Amino acid sequence: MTRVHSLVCAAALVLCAAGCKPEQPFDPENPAVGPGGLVGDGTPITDGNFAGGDDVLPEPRAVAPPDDTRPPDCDGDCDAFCAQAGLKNPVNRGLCQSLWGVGLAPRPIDEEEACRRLFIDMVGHVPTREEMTQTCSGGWGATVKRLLDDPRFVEVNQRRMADEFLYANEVVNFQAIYDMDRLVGKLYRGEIPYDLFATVAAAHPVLTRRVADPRDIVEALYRHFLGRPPFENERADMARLYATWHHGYYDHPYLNMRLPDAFVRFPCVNEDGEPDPQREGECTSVLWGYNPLVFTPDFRAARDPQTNQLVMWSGLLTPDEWERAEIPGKILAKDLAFWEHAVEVVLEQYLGYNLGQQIPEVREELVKFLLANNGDIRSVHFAVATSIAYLQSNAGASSARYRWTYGPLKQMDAEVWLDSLAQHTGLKTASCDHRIPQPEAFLESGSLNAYRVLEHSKWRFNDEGEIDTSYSDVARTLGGCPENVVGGRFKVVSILTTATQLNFVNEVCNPAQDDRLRSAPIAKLLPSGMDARKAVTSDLAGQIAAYQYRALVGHEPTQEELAEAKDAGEQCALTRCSAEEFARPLCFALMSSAQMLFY
Amino acid sequence: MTRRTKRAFQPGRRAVLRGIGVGAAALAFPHIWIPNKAYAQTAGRGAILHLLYIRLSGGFRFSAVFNSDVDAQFSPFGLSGQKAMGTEWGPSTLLERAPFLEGGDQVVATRKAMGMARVTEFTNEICVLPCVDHEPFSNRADGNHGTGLERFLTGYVGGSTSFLTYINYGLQDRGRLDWTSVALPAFSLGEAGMALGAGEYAAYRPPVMDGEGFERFGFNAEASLPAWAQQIAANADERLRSRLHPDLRTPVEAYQQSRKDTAAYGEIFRSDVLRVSDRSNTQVDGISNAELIQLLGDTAEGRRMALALRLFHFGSPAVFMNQGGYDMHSAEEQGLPGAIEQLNQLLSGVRAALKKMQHPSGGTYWDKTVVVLGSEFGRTTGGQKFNSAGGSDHSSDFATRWMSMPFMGGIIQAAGKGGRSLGRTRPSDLKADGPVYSYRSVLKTLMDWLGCNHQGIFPADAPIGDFFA
Repeated sequence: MTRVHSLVCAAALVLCAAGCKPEQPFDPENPAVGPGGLVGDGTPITDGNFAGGDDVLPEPRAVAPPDDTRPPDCDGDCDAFCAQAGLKNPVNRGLCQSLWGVGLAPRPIDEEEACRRLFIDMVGHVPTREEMTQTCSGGWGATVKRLLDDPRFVEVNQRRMADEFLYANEVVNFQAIYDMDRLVGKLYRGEIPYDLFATVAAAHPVLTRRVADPRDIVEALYRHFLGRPPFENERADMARLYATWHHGYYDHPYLNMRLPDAFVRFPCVNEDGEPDPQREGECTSVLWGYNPLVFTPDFRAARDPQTNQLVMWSGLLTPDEWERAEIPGKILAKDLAFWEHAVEVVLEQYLGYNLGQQIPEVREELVKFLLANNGDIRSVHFAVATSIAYLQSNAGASSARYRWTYGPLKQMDAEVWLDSLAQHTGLKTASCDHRIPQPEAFLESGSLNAYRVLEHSKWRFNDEGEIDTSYSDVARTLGGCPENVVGGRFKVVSILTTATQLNFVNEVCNPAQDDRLRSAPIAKLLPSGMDARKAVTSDLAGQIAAYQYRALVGHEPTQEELAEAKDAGEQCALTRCSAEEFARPLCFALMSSAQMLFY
Repeated sequence: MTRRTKRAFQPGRRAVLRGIGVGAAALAFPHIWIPNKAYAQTAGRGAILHLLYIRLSGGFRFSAVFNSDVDAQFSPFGLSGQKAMGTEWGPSTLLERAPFLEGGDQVVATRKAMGMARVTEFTNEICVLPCVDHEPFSNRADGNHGTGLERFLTGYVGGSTSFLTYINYGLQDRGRLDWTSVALPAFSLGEAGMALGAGEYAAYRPPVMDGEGFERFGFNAEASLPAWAQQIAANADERLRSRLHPDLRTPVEAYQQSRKDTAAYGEIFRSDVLRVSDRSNTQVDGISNAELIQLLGDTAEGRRMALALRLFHFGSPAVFMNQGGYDMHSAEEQGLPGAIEQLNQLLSGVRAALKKMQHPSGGTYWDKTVVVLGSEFGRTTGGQKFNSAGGSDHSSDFATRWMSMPFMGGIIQAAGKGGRSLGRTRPSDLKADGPVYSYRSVLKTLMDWLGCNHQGIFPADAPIGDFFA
């Protein structure tokens, strides 16, 4: 019997041990394999209706506001004011003592600015006016609830987590990556609490295979879940719980590919395969209680030809064994700093800065809120997205320069920018898949199953049957679709990125009507029913502009913008230009503007 | 490159006092040496203008190609018997392969006429460092793709600044080059990991160019847009900027400025010279794009390398590109020979091109360019020619540890190091039997040859002087 056969037989035995669920040995449409499948039964841990979505906001207390040179000081009257303000949103509650309570006012926001921001952050694209009207109604609590329930909210956060854990199928088995992605999906559908997510992630091959050394794994774990590197004693002690992990490869029986994956080795057993009292300490953490992690080899183990040591493929671990391997995550989840970091990450995601560090009361309230909602991370997203810190304008000067007295401004992810442009203008584009950042290896394997994995991914094939990289080429120049082997996503404003953006918009809008470009259909750039050959007048230009502002930018044009468009229409009319000859350059002017890049 | 606002120089009290002190000393004692910026430097400092840095992607089995004078378990394809006279290092039989020079058609004849040859015919122009190690003081190799590549691109595990960023930073005082109005920075062709930059280095991150050329930079606002549309675009940006809170305006201002700068660079980006796929017959620097493609091959990598040479024309000091996919855990026995054929064509083609190309500052590009090959680690098989799947793996042993890095270019020949091996390994177990160079020293050496200011970069690793010893 070959090693592959023994692995397959052993896998079947393990599956039986896990409940004898009949599963296909390999399903290209759903290739996830790993501990993420062992948690969550599809039942939400909360009903998803969180408090504090529609706070009635107080007027600032009638006192002289503090200057910008030091943190605001909330005195007894301020405390009493905030206690009586009736705020239910945890961010608002924590913020009160540094905002309304000390006489500061936030920047008022209009519905358009708020709705656009919510769409981009929560579902990953710039909304049209029509989408805004349909979604942003009935109060911010109801709006955010609607967006939280949108499947695209889960996708946005799956991509964000891919950036965080640097998914790279060159380094980690893609099936483990799919499994982690499935786990993240459960987290953002509210099917598992955040501490359970972290517990599983702490032993997941996405972490243990990604990082080489036990001490480095501890560092990565700390940075992911506590936002800081471990102290040396923490690192040394917890590294003993990672001493069992080994980097190996296995020949996939259905893909004709040798895949990198996490294996378990047995450093703390004697020659008979029994726990060795002399070495058990090397596999035991004692800093947070007595936590041994000693696996013993059995029929599932095989000898690694490189190291000549017995190892076992992690895909053969039983649910009980996975649970034992997840001790580090359980240890971290007992630490208050773990929960504080969880809410800080969400604050930074929405605000672009860490409000929790600037105002610890906000962090404290959010942690209480998260725990009160059974660790459902969606509750923190809900609280932040409906808070005054988020729902205030970034326009105009604020009453003070404290960061929380004016709204956020962020740069869009490359994929958000590209997808929004394509979607609004009707341009068909390819895509990239964060679960398989290096898809070429699948085609090179020559296996039908590997091809089918790609076929069911978000990658697309071109007419020659090769992977269509037209989208990822542009996105990677802009910092998106990261390969994640080294570094990851980046956002930058540079000559090359700007030139790339201008050229992409040129391709989409085609202002010079170049026949060689695969531009957007003109019907998408003109109001419904308008003839593209119609001669432009000032009024017609105004109609086209009003349509494009609403449909492309997602913004109701101001009088100034309409007047500007009408003037442009008059200039265009001098050359007897048609509706199309006006609409395409206007499309370029609007879509290439900074308002499409920053929000 | 990213934008950074230049601050006016404001000397602090200490700087003023030091300046006065130095000035006074110079006046009173004109014979006293006043120290300038000092670098640990090599005799080759500033000797080259361009670096073509090629990563053999996925981990490369160096001992099977560039250090083959060792036992069969490390060199399964064997040592070449056709190496050029005066070659010390061990080229493998794989370097003899040259289907691009076989047959009697016109293309092959042209290639030969332009100077292409089998790699084994010019091994005496290549210097190899058999033992380049990420961490010479570590007790084992780093055979992990992620961290190995981090070391390769940044010098360290978790390094926050990439090699090309250091080059741009180190050449910030280079100023305008005399043969173009705007000099391009170092470019990374397709590897975002080569464009990291933190802190003071952040503004010097190289552009990352995916795809094979600048074909998609055809847009020219002035030519394509009517004046009214240009005005609307400018007004839209300005309206957003002025509407924002004053503390939030910086990124929008950066975007406005980069649009203006893009126009300045646009002439370069739109230049036909950079459209290598167009196969133009126009001679630039003594060679046409059509000839470059003929030499380097009409493949994605061939076009990418042609683009690199054209970026040099516009003053770019360094270009990084990935080549191949050598993570052959299986079927290496069958796959590696074919993969090396493509590498051979690139090496042979770039050598011929560089020797033919006339540099705008005089001489040939060969005189002013170094081509270097590396990878994140070597590969091992655990004592066999190939692993059980006919491939090779990466672990913690010497075979994984050593990158046997080849260097090629006029400076190598001028230093008398063509064909030389700086170090060697014991054939039976690949143990180092000569100098071991730290990988960071290699990077620093390349910076030194380019004339970069590398003060404070990789402080524990000195540039390698042995090339000129």
